[in-house]
Amino acid sequence: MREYETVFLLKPDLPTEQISTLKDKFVKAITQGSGQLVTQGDWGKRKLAYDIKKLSHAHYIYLQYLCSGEVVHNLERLLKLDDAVLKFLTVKLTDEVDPEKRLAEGKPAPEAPDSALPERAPEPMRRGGPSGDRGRRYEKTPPFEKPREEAKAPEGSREPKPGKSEVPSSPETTEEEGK
Amino acid sequence: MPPGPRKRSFGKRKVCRFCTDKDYELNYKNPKTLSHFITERGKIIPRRITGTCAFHQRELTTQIKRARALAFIPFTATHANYE
Repeated sequence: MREYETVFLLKPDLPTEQISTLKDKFVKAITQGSGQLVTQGDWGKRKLAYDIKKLSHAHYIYLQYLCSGEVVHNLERLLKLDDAVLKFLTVKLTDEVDPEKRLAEGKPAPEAPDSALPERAPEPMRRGGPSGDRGRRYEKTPPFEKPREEAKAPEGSREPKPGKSEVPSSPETTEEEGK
Repeated sequence: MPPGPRKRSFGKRKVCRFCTDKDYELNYKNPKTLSHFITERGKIIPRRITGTCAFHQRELTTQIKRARALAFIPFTATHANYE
């Protein structure tokens, strides 16, 4: 018996019932193939670091289980066949586990990971620059540019505007007076 | 500083972040940690810069690649669609 973990990404717009049925289907593939589930987790809808099939979000499901290699093969085949699964990754955690001992230990499902996506989009690539994609030779502190504050000159120039609007109004009055 | 074969003349020696702090988890499910070891372009920072030891840099590389596969961290900055 070996210990594995699988993370798979489902399409974000699936109804909750379908998500749980899909999850049960994959859990069944493990348990029917003489595998034992250790923990499972639902990390919910998360933002992706890059678009997958033009989708910017995905629903993450985590499974941790004990089984033999053939079970993993079968599970991955099912994941591949299902259209609702965008991506999956299986990692072997340990070789040679004593199932009884391992299941007695138990283990809480790992919490949903924090998002590591930057708040701010990085600067666009400078094409034809001296360094190209090589960046800035790993400076000690990444250069941080303050967002340029708008010059305060326009605010001052706006002030005469109400005065300007008065200017055309005054000829009107004079015209009326003239009439 | 006495003359010697050491070329490095600056500051203190960097030490491996993962050796000094055992609780500092190195795992693909922990993209926040991994993000300290990639550039803003998404490239893995060499260990001569970060000071990570060879053992942990090897592990770090596999974990970053796993995290990329699951879209926790980007492969590159240009394909990301930020708003």
